[in-house]
Amino acid sequence: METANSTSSLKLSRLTPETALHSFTIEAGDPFVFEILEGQHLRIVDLKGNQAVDTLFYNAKDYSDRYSAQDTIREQGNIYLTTGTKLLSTEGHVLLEIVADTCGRHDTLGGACAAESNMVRYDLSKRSMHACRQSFLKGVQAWKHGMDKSDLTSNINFFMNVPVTPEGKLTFEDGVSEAGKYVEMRAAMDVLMVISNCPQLNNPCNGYDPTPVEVLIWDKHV
Amino acid sequence: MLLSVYACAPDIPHNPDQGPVAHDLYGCLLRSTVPSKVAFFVDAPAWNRFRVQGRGASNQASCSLQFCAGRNSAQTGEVSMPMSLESTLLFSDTLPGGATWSHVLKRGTALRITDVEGGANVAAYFLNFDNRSERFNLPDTLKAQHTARLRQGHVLFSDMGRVLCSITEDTVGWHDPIAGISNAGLIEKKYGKTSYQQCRNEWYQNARDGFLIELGKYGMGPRDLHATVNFFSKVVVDDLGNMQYVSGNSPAGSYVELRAEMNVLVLLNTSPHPMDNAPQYAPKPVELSVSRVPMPMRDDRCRTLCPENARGFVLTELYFL
Repeated sequence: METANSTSSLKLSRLTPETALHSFTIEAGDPFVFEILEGQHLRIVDLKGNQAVDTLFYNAKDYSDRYSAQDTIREQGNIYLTTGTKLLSTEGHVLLEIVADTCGRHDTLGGACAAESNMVRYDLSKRSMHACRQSFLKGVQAWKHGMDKSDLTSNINFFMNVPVTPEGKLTFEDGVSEAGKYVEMRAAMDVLMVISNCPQLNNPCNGYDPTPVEVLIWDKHV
Repeated sequence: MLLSVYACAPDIPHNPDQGPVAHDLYGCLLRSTVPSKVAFFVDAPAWNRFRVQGRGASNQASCSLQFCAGRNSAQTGEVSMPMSLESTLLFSDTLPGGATWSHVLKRGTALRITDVEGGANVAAYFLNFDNRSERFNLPDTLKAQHTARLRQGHVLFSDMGRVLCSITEDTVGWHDPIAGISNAGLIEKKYGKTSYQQCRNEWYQNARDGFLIELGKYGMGPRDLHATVNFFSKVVVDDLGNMQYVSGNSPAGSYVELRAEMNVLVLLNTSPHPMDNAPQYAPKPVELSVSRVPMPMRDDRCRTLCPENARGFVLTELYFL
């Protein structure tokens, strides 16, 4: 049976880094906020392997219209994101489409780590460890435009592996990504991207060693 | 649960047709209260045995009652109730299919949702009423409890590591937390277009619009509507990640009970599940009832489900210090 997650979802991009309009390296534990215009290509590269990249997208003209994990997985009938996945907004717009993917599976059910969820999941003493929602808040507060915690909804975890079993169990597994793997999207409209390059040290989502990732953006007519 | 006290003569079996004969000191039908003792009197001095009976809930039970000396011609006494009996029905109501409902479920009360006819879907969303920036967080709920389904014993976590509600009772065993809610486009595509002008209140409603309107009544809007859950519905995921709706998950009479661990703004919508494959728009009604219930003890089933839940209850109790 052909599914969105058979090995056919692995797809190389024709774009080369030399022709990119922008190139950014995001260190682990840092937020990154950037606007991507309709038609531009966005690539996120897992430079060292096994690095979760927690990512939120918004309609750049209306931040209340934002990425919806539940609508995205339901409409494609599959919980994993890969080549061909249309990232849907809460108002039913296609924000971006995944057009290339050398990893093959990305999570959108696991959410972003937080000081508070680390206390619940691991130990009350974990409160002061760095976490994605600290970075998300710092990122949207710096971006201004009235963004705040209400804008932190269920995100995408690029390169993260959170399998669900037919019995309804959900687990965090070792990543399926390796050094140099990437995922590439084409923006279907102007979007705002908010990234937290995950600092989590308590589970295998970053191989217990958070590392930098690269963001590349190509212009529409490259 | 409604608790009634019956009085009867020695060695004479209680006749339920006689109904409750004991009244509390205010002349009302005797009901359980918090703390766990209630006072009563019975205007039947010859009778020296009483029966206390819980009615209208799953944990039906009866317990015997200490007889106390009479005062004037009336018998008075005090009954200590087991904690499981300490539950008072406060109100109940029916929510039709396709409708939206909200209520500030107070800490120490529980909402029971009953799928009267079978096949209902109830989309639900939760916020801390006292600090509405704190709200249901689906990923935190799923990963803390290592689950992609909800059932008895699970709790609904907020983004602040605290427990909004606990699923204390559940006859279904699988409630869908991943498929989200219907919207206007989805309902029109599946069932056709309707208008209020043409169909009046039989028009086809959707959960997203219902939730947004209801949130608007509390001064909130689209930015405040995050991921939701679907009670009574089941969506399974295969090894490749494919999602499949399973019909017939909830037989008639199924119920789920949510105990509020803080003052929770609960929003419910009874539109069809967005993956329901029935060809007709025929959302089912549900019965809603709110009761006063005991606080969770150390051995509470939801608290002890996993160490994550125990820590969530600690953080919730810290919030109320």
